[in-house]
Amino acid sequence: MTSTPTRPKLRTTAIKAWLAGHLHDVLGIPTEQITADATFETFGLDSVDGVVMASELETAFGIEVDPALFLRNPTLEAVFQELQDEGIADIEHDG
Amino acid sequence: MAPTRSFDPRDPEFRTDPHRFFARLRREDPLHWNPHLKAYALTRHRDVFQVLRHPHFLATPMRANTATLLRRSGRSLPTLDRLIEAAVLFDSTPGHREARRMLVATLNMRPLGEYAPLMADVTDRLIDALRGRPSFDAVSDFADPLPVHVIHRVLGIPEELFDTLRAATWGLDGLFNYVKAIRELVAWDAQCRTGFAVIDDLVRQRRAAPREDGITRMIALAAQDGIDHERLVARIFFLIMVASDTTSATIGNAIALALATPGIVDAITDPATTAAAVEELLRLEGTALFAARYADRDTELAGLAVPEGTVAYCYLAAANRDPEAYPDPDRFVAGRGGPPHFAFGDGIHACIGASFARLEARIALHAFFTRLGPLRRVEAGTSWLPLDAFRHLARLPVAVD
Ligand code: HEM
Repeated sequence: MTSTPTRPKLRTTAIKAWLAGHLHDVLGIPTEQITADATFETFGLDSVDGVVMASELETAFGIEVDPALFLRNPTLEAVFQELQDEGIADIEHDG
Repeated sequence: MAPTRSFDPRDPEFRTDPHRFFARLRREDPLHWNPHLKAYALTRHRDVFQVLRHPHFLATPMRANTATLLRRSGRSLPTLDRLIEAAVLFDSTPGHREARRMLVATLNMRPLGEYAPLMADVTDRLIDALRGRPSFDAVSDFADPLPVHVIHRVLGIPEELFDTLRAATWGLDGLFNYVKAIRELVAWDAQCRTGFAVIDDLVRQRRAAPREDGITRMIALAAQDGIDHERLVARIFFLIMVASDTTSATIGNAIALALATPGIVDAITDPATTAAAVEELLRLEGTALFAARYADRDTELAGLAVPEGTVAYCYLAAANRDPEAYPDPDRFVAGRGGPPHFAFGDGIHACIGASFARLEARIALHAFFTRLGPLRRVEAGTSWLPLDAFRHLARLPVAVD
């Protein structure tokens, strides 16, 4: 996978807030349920939702991610790790 | 190596050497439920054979799947949809037979042997440009352009449009990936628009002034079948796409294997064994890794009762090295016999271009290894294009000794 040349700094709170908003809009999931260690499975996401989410994440943060990002990683915590490890973003853990 | 249970077919390690994983799967877990694919992975020759000929395992419903994905992301990509509709590979409707017959009739506009001079001419031109060069890239300078030029010329595409069309089909084999990004679908849709515009124009020209070429032939066949202009354009573009990268990748893989394994070059260059050598190279390193199927009702998969909707990945490349079918399967043995391999699939979607591609590969590989002198690879390791369904080398730098 190609890493973005200028690696943006992304705050975990920003990603969490974005995801909560997205899951609330699309699936009506209460925002307080979205935590870094909650497994996506418990929200009843299917693989199509996962691919759509990856695309929305790209648009929201100006990055390019693997379309299977949310399929392969069970939690937001794991997603943060992958974004960091793959050199896609510098993840700042701010809560 | 990771335990079988966690076999991730998108893992770069798997891409580098799938055969090692396959050998193990076949031995330990031939009817493997893969959590990443949410599907069964089949690696035995007899299981792949059975599923590809099974009346209730149908081709992936790519059109519906893509539409669902796009709908949920609030988009629609009508041009890409036209390509997928034209792709008989994903068609399980009664229309499949007719569409397939038309493509077969297009290739059969001449007896197969009459394509040989054209294939030899394309091959010779590429080789002429390489002669005298101390080194070159066997993929981008030879294997990749060759089949593209051949199918373009068969259809009657003028040379000045080759590059535009090539750019339009490039990467579309990513459609077969296990998971596709929406941004990729959007890019492919744009490529299809470019490609369709080129073909659209040519179809109009040939209607006005017919020629002895594939496009003119397809216009006549479409009229017989009542295929409208839009569908015809998409079908021509699909034919170019499906004839190009498969054959390119196969020729590239064959060159790489031949340069790495003693005995293969000799088998290719001896006209008495060229055909057998190509057949064995197709078995060992044919480009198509899998054919995907799903159950259209509750049925049975290699002895296991499975519900409607079950997806099975038939790993063609794995079945082709099943020791039960081919003793000492990793060895190159030209003319080894055994059951037919699956490099071209099997069953109702079996490749219609198999004879065409075989002839092309024989001509290309024979000339490559006879006319360019002794060659050797100049790079350790191999880099593969990031495709899930095809083994296609990104490059293969070679030096002439
Ligand atoms: C060495 C080169 C090639 C390889 C390895 C190859 C491989 C394959 C495979 C494995 C399939 C079956 C896929 C499935 O069942 O899901 C297939 C189908 C097909 N191939 Fe090829 N192919 C090659 C060249 C060509 C060429 C040159 C053409 C056309 C000129 C062609 C046209 C097609 C078409 C139209 C189908 C779909 C048939 C159907 O769905 O009924 N292929 N090919």
